Amino acid sequence: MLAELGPCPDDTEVHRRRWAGRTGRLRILGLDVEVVSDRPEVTTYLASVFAPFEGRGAAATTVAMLERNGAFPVAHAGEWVLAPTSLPQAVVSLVWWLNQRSLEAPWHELLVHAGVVATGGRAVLLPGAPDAGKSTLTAALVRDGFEYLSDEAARIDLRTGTVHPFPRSLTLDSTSLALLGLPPTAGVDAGAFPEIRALGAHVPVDALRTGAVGGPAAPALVVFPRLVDGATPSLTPVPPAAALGRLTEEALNLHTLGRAGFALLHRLVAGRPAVELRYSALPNAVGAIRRALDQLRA
Amino acid sequence: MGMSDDTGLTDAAPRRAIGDDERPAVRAEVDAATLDGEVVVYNAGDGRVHQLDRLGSLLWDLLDGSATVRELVDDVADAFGAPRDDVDRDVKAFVAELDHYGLLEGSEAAEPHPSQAIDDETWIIEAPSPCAPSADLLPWGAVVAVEVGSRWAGVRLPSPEVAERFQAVWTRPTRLQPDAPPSVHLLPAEDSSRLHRMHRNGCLTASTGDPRRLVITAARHLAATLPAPLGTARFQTLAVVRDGVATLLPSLLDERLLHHQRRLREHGFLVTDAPASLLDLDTGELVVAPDDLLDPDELDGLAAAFGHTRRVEPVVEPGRYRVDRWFFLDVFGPERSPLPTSDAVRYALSAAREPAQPILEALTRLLGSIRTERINPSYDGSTVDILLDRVGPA
Repeated sequence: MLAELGPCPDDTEVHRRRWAGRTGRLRILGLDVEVVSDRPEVTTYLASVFAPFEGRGAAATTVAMLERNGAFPVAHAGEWVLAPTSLPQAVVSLVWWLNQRSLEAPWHELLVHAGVVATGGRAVLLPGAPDAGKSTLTAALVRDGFEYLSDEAARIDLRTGTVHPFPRSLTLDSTSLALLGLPPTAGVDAGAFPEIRALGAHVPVDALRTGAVGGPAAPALVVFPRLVDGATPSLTPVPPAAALGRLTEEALNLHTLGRAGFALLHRLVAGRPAVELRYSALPNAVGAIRRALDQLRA
Repeated sequence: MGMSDDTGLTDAAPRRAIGDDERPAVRAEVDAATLDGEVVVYNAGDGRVHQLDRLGSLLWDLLDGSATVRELVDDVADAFGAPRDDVDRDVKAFVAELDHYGLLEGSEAAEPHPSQAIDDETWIIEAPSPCAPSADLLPWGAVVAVEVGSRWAGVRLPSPEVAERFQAVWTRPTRLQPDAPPSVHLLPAEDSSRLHRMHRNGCLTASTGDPRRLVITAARHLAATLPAPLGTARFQTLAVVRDGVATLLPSLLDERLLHHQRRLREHGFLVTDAPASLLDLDTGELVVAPDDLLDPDELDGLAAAFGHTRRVEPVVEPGRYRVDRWFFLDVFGPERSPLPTSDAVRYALSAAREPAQPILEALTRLLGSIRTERINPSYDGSTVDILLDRVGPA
């Protein structure tokens, strides 16, 4: 497929060309990028999805989406990185690619794959596999009044252990939207690409609750969510050694931070409780997490 | 065994025999955290994390190169009053594990044993783009074309060696064909970056460490990529068949479908094996085509090739089945609720493999004349009761 696309434009060519659409500079964690395209509707959509990461000045790198032979290939640093065959697919792939690259780029804080919410300056980390319902549970907690820090990655300061917000838009399917009491149109306006909805809406945090993005918070509780058939909600303590093992599995850049990252995770689990939350229904899970925090406070 | 590594995999490679006079010393670059008496070890060299058991945690601080293995065994046996032979065996097994994972001075990290390439590792089975847009850029080592129905479909594999193994157990015609249109990707989990796995949500068909399951799931997935015959459409659904009548259980989450299929079979239900079932848009019947199924003899052959014995599971015979109900599986929904036709159509379109517009009219007609409900498969017992008609409609 890539061969049919012909030669890939290099950076010089990308910078020289006039583009109909530009996102402007986006600084998503360690990724410093601008997306350009012949299709302004694509860059408008991306700029909305990544609005919290808008930056000033020139980006370090440019990603260009072109239109060639009925495909919409994406060029970066002189190489084709994506080869979608339709415009909606191109948009979804670009959101996916930017998210993935941002989490892979070198970064000075420890990134743990987890949803993060906070209340009263105390953060709840929800590390877990994709099928644990992490994004939907995070969204439900935010709807219930918690502050939103992230549905994807906890940014933890290596020195202080403080968790910083990474308030990217959430990707929620129609089932999750309905369950959260949100209208099917809750995501970024998909006017030009209604088909995107079938692949999941990109929902800005304000659509969950206006002003929901929280500030830095101290980790207070680690909750490993787990969807279990027919389970009534239960919280089971996770021994600290096991919690440390599980957190290292979810750490995205432990391999680059090395021992400093491991020492941070050690401090994190040594000082605060970790529990496994088994649940089968969302409202019960939210209630269980609230009760756990109340108990800690007491 | 004194430790487990974070991959959860059992590495069956042979360990080195440990001598009585060795003085095991942990490498300086290895970190350890002690929490409530349990030790977690981090090797910055290879990024692996190991959680030690009780004996390992006890020994960890003693492994500084000053004591011989014999002295360590004596100390532990004395301290716990345990039989010396047992302690000798356990301590040496633990030191051998540390050596195997490159945690001791002078030891080298072992490569994964080649013979484990398929049997013991977790594999990811997924559909190609748009779900996995990066898959086209991965270095696929081989493409095996597999005969499905009257055409060839490509299975992308990471290396020629794996392709050879795959061809050896696949009972239908195969050939190496680099340009076969890819229908399924099979890749060892360790070849897929962690982020790739985390973002695979929409595209994952299954992940499994069972080679038989791997091949069967690939076959089912390949069958599902066949174009639907005229007047029919494919839906991502299970079908439970009883007394010649089918109940459809569509779901958007394939992994949950697989899980639910297993549970239903455990309860004795006859469930189709096709991830995307064919529906006659005129009559509303479920069409089970021969190519949607692997022959039971083939399953036995596959199982035998990997040294497994297969529990004989009855399969739904090819044919046409009247559909009496659609139950839409929704893991986030309430336990059970009625579904108005308009919502049922919306759900059904989401589970359809076909473009919406041409099938919309037929679906609205079919679903308007039939019972439709939404059930949460997490409440497994109640799903079974509903299917057995022990309880009435919601």
